[in-house]
Amino acid sequence: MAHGPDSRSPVSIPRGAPDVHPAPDTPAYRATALRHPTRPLVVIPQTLTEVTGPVYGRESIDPLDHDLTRQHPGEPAGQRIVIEGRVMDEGGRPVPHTLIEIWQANAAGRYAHQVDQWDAPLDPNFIGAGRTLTDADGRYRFVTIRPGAYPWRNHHNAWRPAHIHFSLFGHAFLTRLVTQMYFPGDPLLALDPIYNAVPDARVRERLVSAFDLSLTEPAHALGYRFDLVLRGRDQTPMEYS
Amino acid sequence: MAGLTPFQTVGPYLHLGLRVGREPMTAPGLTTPIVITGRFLDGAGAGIGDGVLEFWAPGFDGIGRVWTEADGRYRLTAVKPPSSADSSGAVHAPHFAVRVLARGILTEYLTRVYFDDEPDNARDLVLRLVPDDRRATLIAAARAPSEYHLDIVVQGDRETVFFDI
Repeated sequence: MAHGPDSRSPVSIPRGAPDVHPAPDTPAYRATALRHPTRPLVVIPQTLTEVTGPVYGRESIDPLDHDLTRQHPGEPAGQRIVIEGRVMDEGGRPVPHTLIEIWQANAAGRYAHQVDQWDAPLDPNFIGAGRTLTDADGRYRFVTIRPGAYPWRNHHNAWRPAHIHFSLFGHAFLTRLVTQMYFPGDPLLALDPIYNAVPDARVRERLVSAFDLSLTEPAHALGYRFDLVLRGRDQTPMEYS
Repeated sequence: MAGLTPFQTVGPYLHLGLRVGREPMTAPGLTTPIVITGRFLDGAGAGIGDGVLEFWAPGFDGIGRVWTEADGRYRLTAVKPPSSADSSGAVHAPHFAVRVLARGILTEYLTRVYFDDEPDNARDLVLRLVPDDRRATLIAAARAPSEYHLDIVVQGDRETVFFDI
């Protein structure tokens, strides 16, 4: 049984810019020690498998999924924030109608997750999970609360800077991105092995959102801008080699 | 050019956020039900209990996303993808692309799962690029009718082949 190319005419995905992502073996982040490959990666061509990907539409999203402050009977504790941004490919073209999933700790720095057992309080009005689709211009918007920092056991007196996890699909298996958004001016950033695993300091700063007064809602919520750039598509239809 | 956003780890609380994903995996016109089980193992042979595996094949209705159990076990229910040939005549044996993510993984590792009862494996474009002595790390063993087994090992002697694509 043969596949033809699908109706979206998938194209090859250019290799991303080099030296952007963390090295899989980052000794300062101890958990990488036994979780990074030591054998060489095998280079393979892109086939239909890699240039296609799942399509998630409106049926995957509930109307309140983008607003983490309205998923419970009461308002969560903490500083209300709005996060807006644009998802683009490396060529600067918007990535429309793609799924974004986020998850985060509450204002006290505690995740609503059974593995997180430090003694900061849980918030009955905050689970800390959201999802949305980008619009036709690649724009997205979340409403949530600013997460707290929290301790972890990587090294003595280790604290993760406040962050929100982001997961994006893009249009193909190869355009996926899983990352974390940080907040400007956080003194913990300089001490964090995960943030600093990104080798280039200027590239690292792409993970730090920007305070934006134009997104800030009077007497309601602070605004932060966070744009994301996925591995891009080029315009050349490919032969499936 | 816009600057590519770097990866960061999913961390240990991925289950809160990574919830979308259809299981059993389905695709129009495909009817052979299968189960793939195995363990997701670290360089000491211990199970990775806070990982997520994402399976994909063209034409499917969504990704198959499975969280690993505390001891690293995983179980995917799906329908078997077909063999295919592309316009250049290259043969693609039935397979899923697999992405693995976990605490302690700062990026993503990409691999594939093939099936050991498929004669097209010998002609598969990608399998032929994998060194002979490592090819078995990509091929799930049939254990019972429609049931396959493959460990995914991120490091060590039995290390799974990961791809640069």
